[in-house]
Amino acid sequence: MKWLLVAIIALSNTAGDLLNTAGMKRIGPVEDLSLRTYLLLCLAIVRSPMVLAGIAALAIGFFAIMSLLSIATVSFAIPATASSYLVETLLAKYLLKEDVRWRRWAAAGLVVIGVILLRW
Amino acid sequence: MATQIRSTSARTTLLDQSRSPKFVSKTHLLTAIVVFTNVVGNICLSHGMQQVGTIVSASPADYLRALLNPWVLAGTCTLAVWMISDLALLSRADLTFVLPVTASAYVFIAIAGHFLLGDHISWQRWLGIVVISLGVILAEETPSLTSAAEYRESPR
Repeated sequence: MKWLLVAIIALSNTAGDLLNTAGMKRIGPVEDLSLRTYLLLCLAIVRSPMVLAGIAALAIGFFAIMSLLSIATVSFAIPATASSYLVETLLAKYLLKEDVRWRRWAAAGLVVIGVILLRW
Repeated sequence: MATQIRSTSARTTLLDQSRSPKFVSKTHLLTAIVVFTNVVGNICLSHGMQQVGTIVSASPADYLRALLNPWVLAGTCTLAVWMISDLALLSRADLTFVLPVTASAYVFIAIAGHFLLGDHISWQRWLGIVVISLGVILAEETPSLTSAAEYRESPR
């Protein structure tokens, strides 16, 4: 059950972030940070099936984390889910064609190690 | 074919644009907003939820009742701004830039918890703070946008 939840969390977080990134790139770069832009952005989001699916996936991940925390300790839950950073980096490189070189690999790896140490 | 050529050139100009100091500083400002709203929202929410107490319930009504607490309400609204800002940031930066850089929120939440709420920070947690900060600095040094393959011709 624990590992099933870990798999659901990793899968939904990864899918959510990838869908949101791809969907937001389709909407186009947000130019300024005014209230009007934020409202227009909300309109663009509710019209984007990709971003809506991404938000739904992140919501599933959020509730899965809540259930995992109710049956497992934080020191199990956080390391198990933090590793999804590395999966996301790999998929962003090959699916989203982002330019991932040693700095970004090292950054993702350091964040995973740091998050594990932080929740020890 | 014509549209394909046009969109290719639009893509190139956008990637060129993304190297300009103006574009970069806007991305950094948006990153700061994302991290700030994440930290403030989480601290308000956790402070408020401690006042409300543990909710062991499957009923949505109990979660809605928690919103009556001003800290919970403030935290929830701030996290809503965080969500939109995070999406706005993803519209102009790579996911592999956004993920490590916004992880700095972990560091600020830990430090704020120490100074505001009096949480104890063990040496492992200090080490974790240092390691995450190194990761954030490394990612900050990469160009924020390298892939614009998904961009349509920019409407604006």
